[in-house]
Amino acid sequence: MTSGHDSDPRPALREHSHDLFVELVSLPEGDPRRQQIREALVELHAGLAHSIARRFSRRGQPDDDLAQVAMLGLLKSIDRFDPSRPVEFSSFATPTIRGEIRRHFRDTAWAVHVPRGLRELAVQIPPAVEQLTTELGRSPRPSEIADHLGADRHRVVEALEAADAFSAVPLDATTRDGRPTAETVGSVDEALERIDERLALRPLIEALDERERTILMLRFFEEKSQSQIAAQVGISQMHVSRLLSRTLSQLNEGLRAAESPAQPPPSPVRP
Amino acid sequence: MTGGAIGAGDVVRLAVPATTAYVGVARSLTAGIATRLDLDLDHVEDLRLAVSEACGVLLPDAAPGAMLDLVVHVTDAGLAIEMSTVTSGDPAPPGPDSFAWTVLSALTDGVVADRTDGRTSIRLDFATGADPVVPDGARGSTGP
Repeated sequence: MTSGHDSDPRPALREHSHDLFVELVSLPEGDPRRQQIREALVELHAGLAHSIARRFSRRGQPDDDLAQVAMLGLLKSIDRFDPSRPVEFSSFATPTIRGEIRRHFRDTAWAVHVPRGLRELAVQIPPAVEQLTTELGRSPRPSEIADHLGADRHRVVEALEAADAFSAVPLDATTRDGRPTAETVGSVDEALERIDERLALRPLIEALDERERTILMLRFFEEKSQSQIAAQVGISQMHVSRLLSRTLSQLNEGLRAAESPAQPPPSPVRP
Repeated sequence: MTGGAIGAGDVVRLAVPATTAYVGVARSLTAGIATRLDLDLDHVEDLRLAVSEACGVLLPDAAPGAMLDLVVHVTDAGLAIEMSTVTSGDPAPPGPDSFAWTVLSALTDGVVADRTDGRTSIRLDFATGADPVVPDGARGSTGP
């Protein structure tokens, strides 16, 4: 039995791969032969993708998903590789495949922490909430979501908490149907009329972006529910909640800063 | 309902260092109870915001090394949440015309703030009634 040489990556394979790449780049876009060559290259280098995927597999991600993501990275590498440059395909593809896996981990970070069954339930919840909100004219209770989905209420509670732990909604997500309707919001001055800190608050509120200001006004001065605001502004209720939370802490920070503009130097300790 | 359920008369207590690092813990605890009490999702999110806002009132004045005490009373009407801490200096509790009060009363069904014996406390009431529309009682006068 001969022992394998790791440092010698099968010259025949390397040559075959090189020939395929040379042919691939010579063919015009849309040539049916291109697809055949790509498939041959994928088959040839699948081992590389798998070995990279395996290195990440202890992170709790199912190997199937990882292998698929790695193959996607491999495909990208094949399409971008230039055989005229003095670089081995494996050296070129490895960082691309790794990058693809890292991006996958980042995008699906919660998959690492949330058990699969709960995750499946969690993805059913937002459409259920949307439908029930329309039907009920208010946001649903966990029991109503559970009835609607035919799921156990306690599981729904857990799924809601899991979804909350994973703050997937980027705060700058675009609105569903254009711009918030600022005209419907009463003026800032009117709203602040009775508030003690109005002088400090006004510039802070004016500095908010239009959507944040609209949401703040609707919730605290016009007392619309988060679901009503979500419908009006065209984003999800969870998103409204996160924006409100951020806006409030911003305003409170600003107010505190305005309260104590310049801290007096600490007075010396008296004997 | 399977097993034990959260019910009227239950009292849940949490004591954490009075620093912003623990605001999230206070939010999660109260939201967890509210979700299990089957409050609708708007109310759960409002409750989370209200707990943050109350922390925003209490924590800046907390005495060094003080604890933030949070007591959740489950009642027939819903939830009553008392948050308190020992405060240094002589901060006035938030008045009905403050911004914090406006926010808290929009988010809850009742706000009571108090300061006695060096402790500032805020009590928030949430109704779990079938009709999520907030009754007019126990709140400052509101918008148009």
